[in-house]
Amino acid sequence: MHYVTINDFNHWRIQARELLRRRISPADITWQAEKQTSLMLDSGEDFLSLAISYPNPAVPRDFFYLAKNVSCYRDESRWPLLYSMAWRLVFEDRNLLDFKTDEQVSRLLSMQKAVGRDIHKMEAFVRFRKIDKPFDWHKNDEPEKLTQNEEYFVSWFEPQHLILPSISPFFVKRFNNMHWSILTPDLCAHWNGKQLTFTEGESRSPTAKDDLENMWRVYYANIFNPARLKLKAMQSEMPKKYWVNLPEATLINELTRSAGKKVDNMLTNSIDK
Amino acid sequence: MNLQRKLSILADAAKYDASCASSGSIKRDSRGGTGVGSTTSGMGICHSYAPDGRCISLLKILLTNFCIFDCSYCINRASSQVQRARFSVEEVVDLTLNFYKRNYIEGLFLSSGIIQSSDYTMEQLVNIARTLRKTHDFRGYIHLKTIPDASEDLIRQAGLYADRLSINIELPSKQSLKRYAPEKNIGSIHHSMQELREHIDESKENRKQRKKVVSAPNRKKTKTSRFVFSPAGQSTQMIIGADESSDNKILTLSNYLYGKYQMRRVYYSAFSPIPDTATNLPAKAPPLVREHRLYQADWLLRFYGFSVEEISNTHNGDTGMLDLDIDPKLAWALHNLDFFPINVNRATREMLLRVPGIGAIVASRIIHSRQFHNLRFSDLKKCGVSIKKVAPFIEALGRSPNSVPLESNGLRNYFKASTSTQLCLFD
Repeated sequence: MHYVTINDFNHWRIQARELLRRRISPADITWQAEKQTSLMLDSGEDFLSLAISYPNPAVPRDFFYLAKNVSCYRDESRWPLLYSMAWRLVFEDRNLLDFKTDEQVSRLLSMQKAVGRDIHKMEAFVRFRKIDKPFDWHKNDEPEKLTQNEEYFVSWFEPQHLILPSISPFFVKRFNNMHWSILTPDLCAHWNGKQLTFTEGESRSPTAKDDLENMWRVYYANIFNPARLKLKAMQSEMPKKYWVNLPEATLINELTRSAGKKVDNMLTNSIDK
Repeated sequence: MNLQRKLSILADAAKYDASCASSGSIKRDSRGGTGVGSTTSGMGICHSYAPDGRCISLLKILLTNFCIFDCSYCINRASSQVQRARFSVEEVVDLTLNFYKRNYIEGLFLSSGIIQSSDYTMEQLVNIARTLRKTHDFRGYIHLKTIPDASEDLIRQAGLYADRLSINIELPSKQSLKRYAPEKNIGSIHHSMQELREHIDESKENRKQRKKVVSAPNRKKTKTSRFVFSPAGQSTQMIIGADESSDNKILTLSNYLYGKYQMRRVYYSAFSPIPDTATNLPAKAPPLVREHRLYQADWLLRFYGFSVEEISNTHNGDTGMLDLDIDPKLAWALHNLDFFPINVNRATREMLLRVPGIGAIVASRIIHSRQFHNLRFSDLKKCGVSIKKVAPFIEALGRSPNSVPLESNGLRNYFKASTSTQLCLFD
C-alpha cells in the first residue's frame, strides 16, 4: 500500500503522473489530505523509488479540465476517483469520458456540475460593501493605505465547494481597479489593484455598513411585478441558503405577502372606470 | 424629488420589458483600463431573482416616463395618471457604477419614454452610454432601447457604445399596432431593424477580417476598421394577450423576425394589469402559461428544427393556439404518433431531438454512450432522461419499465396528469 498526500490540484496532477509512470494501481493507494499527514509516520512518497515502467502517460485535454473542476469538490473521495479515472483513460480506453453511463464517469460529471453551479452562483451572489478603511488582513502589520480616488470593498461568502482560488481571477478581471477582499470560512482573497493574496479563512462576516444597499432594495422592490408572482421559480434559482448574504432578500416575504392585494387593486380600478 | 423616489418610479415603469439578458457579447474586462467591468461571449449572470421568478441581471430603468405617445398597453402612455420623473445623465451613470461595483448587476438596460422628439430622446440615451464608456471606462454590459424614428447617425453612435440594441415590435399584427399604439409606425420599426442588422453584419464581418489579419502576420498590413457595433446583436419584444392574435400568428411573425433581421431573441411579454389600465384592454391576470408555451415553441423553432406549422397545428383543430396543458413538443408527438417509437440505439440526432423529454444535451450523451454498448432503459436514466416521459416514444434494450400504449387520447391524459404539478411552478 502506498500513502499519497495531496494539498491541491497541481500537487495531485504531479503525484498522479508519477504514480501512473510506475503503473501503481488505484487499489494500492491510500489518499490523504494534507492536514492528516502529521499523524502518519510515512511521508507518503516512498513510491518514487520504484522503477518507471511507463514513461509518458497521457490523458485527454478534456480530462484535465474536468479534473481541475472536480478538484474543488468538497469531498476527499475526489482524489482517488480522479486517479482511478486517469488510470482507466491511460490503460483501458482513451475515449472513456464519452461513456456517460459509466458509474465513475457519471459521478465525476455530476461533481463537475455541482462545482460549476457553485462557481456560477458565487459570481452572481457575492455582494461587496464599501468600507472607509482598507480591510486589515495583514493583522499586526501596517494596514494598506488608499489614495484619494481609491475605494475598498469587502464581501463575505460561504461557497459550498473549495472554489475561491478558481473564482478569484473572475473578480480580478472584473474589478481590476478596485481594492477588495472576499472572505470565506476556508480562505480569503485580497486584491490591491496589482496583486492577489490569499490568507486563512475567517470565522465570521466582517461588520460593515453600506448605505447604497437601501437604494438597491428600492430597485428590487420596484422591478418586481406582483401580477406575476412565482415564488418557486425564484427559489429554484436563488435558494434560501443564499439569502443571508443578499441585502435584497429581507424584502422577499413582504413583497410576496402584499402581491395579491396590489393586483386586486389594479384590476378593480380598471373595472370601475 | 429625491433619487430613491425617482428610482422607484423609473424602475417600476421599466419592468414590463421582459429582457434582462447580459449574454452573448464580446470578451472584455477591466485590466489595462481605469474603470470596472467585464463581459463574456457566453451566458450572462443573474445577480438576483425577484419573487416573480425573473432574473435580475441589469439595472433596468427608464431615463424618463414622460411620454408624448399614447399606447394603450403602456403604463407610461400620455393619458395615464402615473407619477412622472426624469433622471439626469449623472444620476443614471452613478447608479450604474455604484451598483456594478457592489456586484449587484452586469450593467445597464436603458429605455425611455419619448420626450420632445425621437432624436432628442435617442440623443439622451446615447449620451449616458457615451459617458459610461468614455468618461468612466465602464466595460460592463449596456443594452439600449432604440427609438425607431431616430436618425441614422444616432443609431450608429448607440451601437458603438452598446452591447445590444433593441426595438420592440410591440404587437403581433399591423392592425393591433394601429389600434393600440396609433403614433407608432410599423414601417419605421421594420426599417430600423433592417438598419441595425446591416450595421451588426458589417461590424461582424470586420471583426472576422481582423482575426484573419492577425493570424497571417507576414501579409502586407491592410487597413481594417475597429468598428464594433452592438456585438450582442439585437432583440425585440411582443406583448401577448392584449389583442386577439393566435399563437400561430405570433410564431409566424417571430420566425420572420429571426430570419429577416437575425434577431438574437424575441421576447414574449404576457400582458399584465398595470395601474390605471386603458379601458380598451382586458383587465385580467397575465396569461403566464401561454407565455411559457410560446417560449418553448420559440425554442423548438430555433434549435430543434421544427416549423411553425408543425408546432401550432396540433391542437383544437385550426384555431392556431398552442395546447396549454402540455408542452408543444409533446403536443406535436401526440399528433404524429406514426413517427414513433424511435430506437435510441440507432436513431439520428435529428430524430432523437423530436422525442419529448430528450433535449440537446441528453441527445449528445446518448449518441456518445451508445458507442460503448447498446443502451438499456436504466442507462438512459443515467443520461438524465425521465423514463416516465420518454418510455411511450422509444425503444431501448430490454423491456420498458413504464409501458404505456401509444394511443393518443389516453396518452394525453397520462401526461396532463403528470405535468399538472410541474405547472404550479408557473402559476
